[in-house]
Amino acid sequence: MAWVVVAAGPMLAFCPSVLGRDETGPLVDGAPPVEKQIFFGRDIRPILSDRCFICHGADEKRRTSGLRLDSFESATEAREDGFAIVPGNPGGSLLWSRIRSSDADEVMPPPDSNKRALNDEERELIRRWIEQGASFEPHWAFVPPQEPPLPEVKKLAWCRSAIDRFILAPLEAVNLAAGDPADRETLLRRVFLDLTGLPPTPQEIDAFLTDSRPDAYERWVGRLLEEEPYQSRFAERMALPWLDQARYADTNGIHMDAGRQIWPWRDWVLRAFRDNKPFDVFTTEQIAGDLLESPTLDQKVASGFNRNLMSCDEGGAINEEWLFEYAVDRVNTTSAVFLGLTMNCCQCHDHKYDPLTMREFYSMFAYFNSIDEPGLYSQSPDPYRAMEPYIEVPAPEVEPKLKVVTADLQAAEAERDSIGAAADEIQSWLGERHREWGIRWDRGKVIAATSSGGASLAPQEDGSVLLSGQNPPLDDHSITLRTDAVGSRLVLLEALPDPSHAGGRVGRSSNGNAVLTHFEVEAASVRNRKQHRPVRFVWAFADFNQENGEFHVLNLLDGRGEGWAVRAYDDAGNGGRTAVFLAEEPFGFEGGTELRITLRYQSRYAQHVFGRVRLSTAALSESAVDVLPLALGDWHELGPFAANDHDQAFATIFGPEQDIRIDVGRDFGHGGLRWVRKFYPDAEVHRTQNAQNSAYYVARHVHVPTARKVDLSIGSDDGMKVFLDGQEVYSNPEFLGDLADQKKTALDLTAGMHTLCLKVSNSGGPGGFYHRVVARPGELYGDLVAALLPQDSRDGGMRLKERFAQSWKLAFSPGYLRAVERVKDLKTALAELRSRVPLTMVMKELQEPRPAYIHIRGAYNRADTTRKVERDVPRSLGGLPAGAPPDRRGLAQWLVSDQNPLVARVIVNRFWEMLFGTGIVKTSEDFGFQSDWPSHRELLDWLAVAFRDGGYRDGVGPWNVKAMLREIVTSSTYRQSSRRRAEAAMIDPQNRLLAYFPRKRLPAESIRDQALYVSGLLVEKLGGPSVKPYQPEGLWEAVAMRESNTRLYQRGDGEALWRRSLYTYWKRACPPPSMQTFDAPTRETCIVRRMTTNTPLQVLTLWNDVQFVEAARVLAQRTLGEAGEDGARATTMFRRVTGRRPQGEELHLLLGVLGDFRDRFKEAPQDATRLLSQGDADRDDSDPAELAAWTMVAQALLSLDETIVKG
Amino acid sequence: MNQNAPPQDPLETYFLNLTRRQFFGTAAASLGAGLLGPAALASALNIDLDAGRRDAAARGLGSLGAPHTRARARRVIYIHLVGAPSQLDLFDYKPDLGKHFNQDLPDSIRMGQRLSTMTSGQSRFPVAPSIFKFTRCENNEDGAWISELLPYTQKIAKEMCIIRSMQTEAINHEPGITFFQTGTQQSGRPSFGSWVSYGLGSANADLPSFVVLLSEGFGNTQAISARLWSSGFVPSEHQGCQFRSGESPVLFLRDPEGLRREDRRRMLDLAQQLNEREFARSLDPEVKTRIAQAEMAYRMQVSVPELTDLRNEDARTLQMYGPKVLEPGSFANHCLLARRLAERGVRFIQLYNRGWDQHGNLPSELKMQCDAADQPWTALVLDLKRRGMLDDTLVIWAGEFGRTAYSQGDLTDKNYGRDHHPRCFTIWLAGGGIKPGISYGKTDDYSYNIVENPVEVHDLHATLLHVLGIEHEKLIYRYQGRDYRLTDVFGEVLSPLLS
Repeated sequence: MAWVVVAAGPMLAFCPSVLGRDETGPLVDGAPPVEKQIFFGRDIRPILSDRCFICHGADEKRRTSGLRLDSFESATEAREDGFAIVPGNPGGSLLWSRIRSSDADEVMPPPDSNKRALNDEERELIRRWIEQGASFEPHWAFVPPQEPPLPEVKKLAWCRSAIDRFILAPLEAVNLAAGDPADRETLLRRVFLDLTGLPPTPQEIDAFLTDSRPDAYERWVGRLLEEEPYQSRFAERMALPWLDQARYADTNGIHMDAGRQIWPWRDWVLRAFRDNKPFDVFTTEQIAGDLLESPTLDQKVASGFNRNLMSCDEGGAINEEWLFEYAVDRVNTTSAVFLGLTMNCCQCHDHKYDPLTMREFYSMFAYFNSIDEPGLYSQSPDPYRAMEPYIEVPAPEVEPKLKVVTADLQAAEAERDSIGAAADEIQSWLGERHREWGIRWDRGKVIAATSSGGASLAPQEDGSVLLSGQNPPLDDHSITLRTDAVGSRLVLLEALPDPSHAGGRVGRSSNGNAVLTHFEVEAASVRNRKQHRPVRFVWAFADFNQENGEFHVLNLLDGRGEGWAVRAYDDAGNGGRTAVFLAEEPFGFEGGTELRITLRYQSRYAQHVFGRVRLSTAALSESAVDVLPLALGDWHELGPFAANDHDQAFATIFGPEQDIRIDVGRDFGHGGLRWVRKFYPDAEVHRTQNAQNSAYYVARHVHVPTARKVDLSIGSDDGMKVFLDGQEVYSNPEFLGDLADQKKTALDLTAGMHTLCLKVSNSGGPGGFYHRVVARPGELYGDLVAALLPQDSRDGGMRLKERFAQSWKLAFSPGYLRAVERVKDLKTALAELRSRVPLTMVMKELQEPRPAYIHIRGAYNRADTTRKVERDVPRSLGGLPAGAPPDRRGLAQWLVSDQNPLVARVIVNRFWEMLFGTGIVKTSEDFGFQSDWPSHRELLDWLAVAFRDGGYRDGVGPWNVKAMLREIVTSSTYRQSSRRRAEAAMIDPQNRLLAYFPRKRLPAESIRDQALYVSGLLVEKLGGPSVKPYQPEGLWEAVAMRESNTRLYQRGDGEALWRRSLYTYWKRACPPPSMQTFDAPTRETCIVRRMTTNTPLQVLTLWNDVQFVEAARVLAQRTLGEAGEDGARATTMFRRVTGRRPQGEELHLLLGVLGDFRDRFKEAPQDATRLLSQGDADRDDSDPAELAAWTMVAQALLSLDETIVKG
Repeated sequence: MNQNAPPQDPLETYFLNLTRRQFFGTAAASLGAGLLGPAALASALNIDLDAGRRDAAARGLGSLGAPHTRARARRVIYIHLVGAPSQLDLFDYKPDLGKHFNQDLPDSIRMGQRLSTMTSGQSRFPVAPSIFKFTRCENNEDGAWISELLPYTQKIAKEMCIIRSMQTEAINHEPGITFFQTGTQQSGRPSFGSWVSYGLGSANADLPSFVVLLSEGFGNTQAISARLWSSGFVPSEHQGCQFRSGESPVLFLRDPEGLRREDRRRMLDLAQQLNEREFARSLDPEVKTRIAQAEMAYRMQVSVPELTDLRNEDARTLQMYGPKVLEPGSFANHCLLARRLAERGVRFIQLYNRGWDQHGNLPSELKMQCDAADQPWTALVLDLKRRGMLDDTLVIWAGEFGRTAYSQGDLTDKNYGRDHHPRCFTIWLAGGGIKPGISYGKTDDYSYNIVENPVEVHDLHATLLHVLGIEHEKLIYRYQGRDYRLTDVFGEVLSPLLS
């Protein structure tokens, strides 16, 4: 490689680390040493850091032989075997002899360490460094930046900005001239794309080309930054990398990958860039907006920065684990974005390279671990939900209305509650009813009580049976009751709480809950033992049915499902439980009856038995049976079943409608769809998850005590069919909204059990249904049915007494009914207002901060409670400003303080990277010891100080983003031509010295935005909810869980197809495919720097993604709409796309191909028509062959290298 | 290359570099341009850079240039059973467990280990023996016990290296799959396939080097996401390219209706002529790369449909894979596609089959899963074998963890469910470099803990890389100032598994 070294010789002398090293190791093996000044940070530390620090660095755990090579003091102290380093004396330094040793046991780094051996050049560097005194200067990035003096340059006239002097000086040092200026067309397109993400139009180019004023370019830069529509585009362009860094997305990212709402935060970012919010404020509000004094709504919204992380809803995951993960993510993201540091390394151990410790990591962690948030979220059907904590972000015009309605609602609720329970009235009504219905409750006498599993059952004074002793996992309890009553219809089962059970609840299990799976009764005549018959029940009511599974009391009527459970496991579960059963026919023998009652507990839940039960019977007149309401089982839902269009979804029989029973195990195909139980209260609108053109089913069992005709009040979005026991009884294909009481249908019911099935078909947008059984006059609807019960059981658990009183008032107190209806109306009005109010996720501190500890090996469940940490910032990065509050406000103050060495450098470096493709520090995500040495260290410091302090131009204040960008893009450096110069490329292949402007492919979003813009399709509107443009079918479905509310992609229409790409809905498990192809990250974690690859899949996207085919066609339409002949039109099209006029043969080539395609499509006009049918955008009435030919030319232009590259 | 003997000829140096390094896009600049970028040199010396690039791709050279050691396998087919199939009902035969039916799992076995919150609240942990019969199938040792649910698999016991002592750290699906496929539980790292693609490159210039196929099952479906085949921080050309069922197996592959192939060619010719002029203006070698990639895109439009067109497969082959083989998107269809991809030199073929998460109704659901998948994966192994490809194709069959010996929920003599179990589970390997017809590792009487030869995920990864000729400690990518590996800082090659 000697040849290369000769060529590069002068260069190496100037700046070897910039040009002579790369990440895979130096290629300058065998190079002759070049005399030069050694810089520890540039030349030596990278070697030590890479090969030595892992064992001889800051990490105490890994340190071997007690030697540290990361400070002068420790490296030069006396050791048993001598000195690692003797300054000025390599020969006396063990370091020098060990790295040169040929003995495998001696040589450093050890051959088995997987560290590359030092090469000759590296060894020589170390020798000379020791010789020159082995100075350990601190890492440049950890020292606050000072404004450096401007370097001397020969060609001062070239320099427009201080920036140019820093760039020119090194070029002159290697005898390279600065590049020629770019031509004006190229420069204008470059700055348009850089600052707005969109190219200039031919009119804008012409305006610039004909503007001969010397500051014409500066004027355009000013307009792009300050004037509409440019400054909104500027905001959209600047927000893009920020969204990557903040890991912004529209779904939670894990497991269900449920939808979330946090786009108001994204809009805050857009406004911040548009309005040029100073970067220190921008930082502070995002880190700690919620904690500022009397925070504005906007400041709270800004704090959503650290809520953008992924969140978990996987059943079986552990709450504490995820709370830990969230705080860790916030440390990692905050440090990567603002500090350019990889603090994530310190989650498990002290940093291997940087002066950051585990303790410091957890001190940062302590700022973020006390958010009032759950570790695990439960999915709700609403994909527009915001995960708590969140706030509402009402538009200014909605806010006063909200206030008024909220106040009205409070008043109406107070009025409703003031209408007292007319106790006397209720009492006398009950008395009358019981007489009329012939109810007289009879407790009988317990004459035997046994357990199959060995429990003891003891009859009590109050007629109940108390369990004690053994408690087997599964058990059957038999109780025999002696009664003289005849003509009984009702059996009452009271489960009573008892102090001998866990928590004094009704169940004997460890959590106090119970699941009764079978309730069997047999009546036997006392007089004639041979006379006995089973009692069959046809209707039941329970004061409470557990909502989270197949636990409805109706399961007991036919032995189906899992039995009746009563949620006695939580604090709301105190008190007794009651169920009442209606027999098919009267029972009881003259001369006395023995009722043999078996309570079976055979669920999967061990020991879930009632611990004390009481049984009673009562007669009931036929007239009373007729006013019993329907007993309604839980809803089950099934779907969605996809179809090609709404008609097909509505008409197709997918299977569930034909079933006369709900079979929860049945697989209906379509990817294993099965019934899922749902808690859908009646008389409310429920959203279903049927996307565009699909069908959805909800079904329930209904038990009817007597034959009757019943009205259903229903609503649906869109079409609905109603099936009773497999027969269609109602059908309406209309497109409707899911509102209450839209339509009515009647059911003719015989006594007994029925299956009611509603089929909802949806054409697009959210689907939903509404259902209510219309009560007949005198019917005991709602909790009024508790009128059947004896007084003391009505007063038992689960607020039945109050619920009954409410139902009674609703039925018999007109004033109360009116008050209730008013509350309901106001709630609806409020909900309607609220539905138009965006929600956004924010930070919110707990009242009491959680303590923070060092976690052993970074494991969530291994907090070392002997090592508690307080909130603090890393020592090596300056300290907290005096008086900084001990919360995120203090953290923010530190970030933007003068003492912080990193933030200003990190941010200006990213601006530089955005404009020049590569940062001054190439590793823009890492400014630590392992970072790439800056190509222009003084320039970076100059920019950082200028950005932080302002004042470098008149009127520029601190942290002024637009001014900083203006400074850079108006520099001579930025205005250079991008032609790769051979003489520069020879000695500086990566163009780190910027002898010419680096070409760079556009980011994914810009490529699509540009195609939409040049064709005229782009719909410009700053902010708003995310949109769903074209996407190939089935992508989401292929990765999503069946229950996920982002399983089906519901493409948007109209404007939604043509918004800028940063508004495209971002599902983390399946990001927009064309964005991914062009190197967009998944937004799962913070990404500071995107890659740029060059693949065939990108080419295919440009050719065949309907978005680009449509753009080509609309660009062709636009072109045909312009005046002139082919040449003029082609020139305009070419200019729109590339920003320049065609040169030389180019126009000729274009027209030739245009002519070929014209002939081709004239011969086969049907092919032209098919090509032109792509996309929703209107087609004009131009000749198909002509339009198709131009479309193909447009396709060629849109896929050109120079089109998707900023030159 | 002898580092101490500088070559005399700069051109020779350049081409030596080319063969050592990979040249795609800017990755080339950062990888190869340390001293003198090949692009700069190329433009200075007027060399057609793409010739080298294409050459490198054609020879299958990735970042490693050449394998570290002798590669026993040249490509990988990895079947991931999403949801975690039950080892107790498929491979880990526990005939004596029947005696413990519905008894509590002894504390001496459970040892207080972490449970998922789906069963940690369960009041008891009743042992649920498998209701399925097992058959001893002849292999190259004393036989392998395989469940009646897998009658086809029973026939390939001689090819299988069954590892019964696999273990993992994760207890839930998301982190579990992520760990198995990327070497850590956190997201953001390159997947196994991306590492292999990055290391070894492509052996076919007309197809992606890492292809992903997703198929549905019948049982409880767990989520998967693009992160599993993401390239993380290695260049994104190494991300898995998802092949889909239907007319456009690769996204945007098909030209719009109305276009003929010669139309695309004509359009492309115009674009390429303009691109050549752009190269002449800018001298940027990236333009040349884009020109080459457009040509590859054009070729892929033929090579991919040809690949997915099964019409030229003979009847016997189709029959082998079972009745659903022609149904696009079915697992059987994907198994056959996997063989065709392997034949064409695709480096890493990742199959996901969903629906293996049997928390309840395991006997019926698992049976449905097996009925649909057993024949196709068996056919894949046999098909590779009879074509002589099994010798240099590595087949991996694995879920993300195992399932508990105790029942989740209802236990009857006919029905039970099983929760997640990371402490032990069974996977199997077959093909190139792997010792065929053996079993490795043992579990205790309850298939709850490992009693012999535990296999960590990192060890498995190290071993699999080894058979591909890669030393796992040397397949490195530097990111954020740190060297990253698939095996993090762990992993040992398990020599007993090697042939």
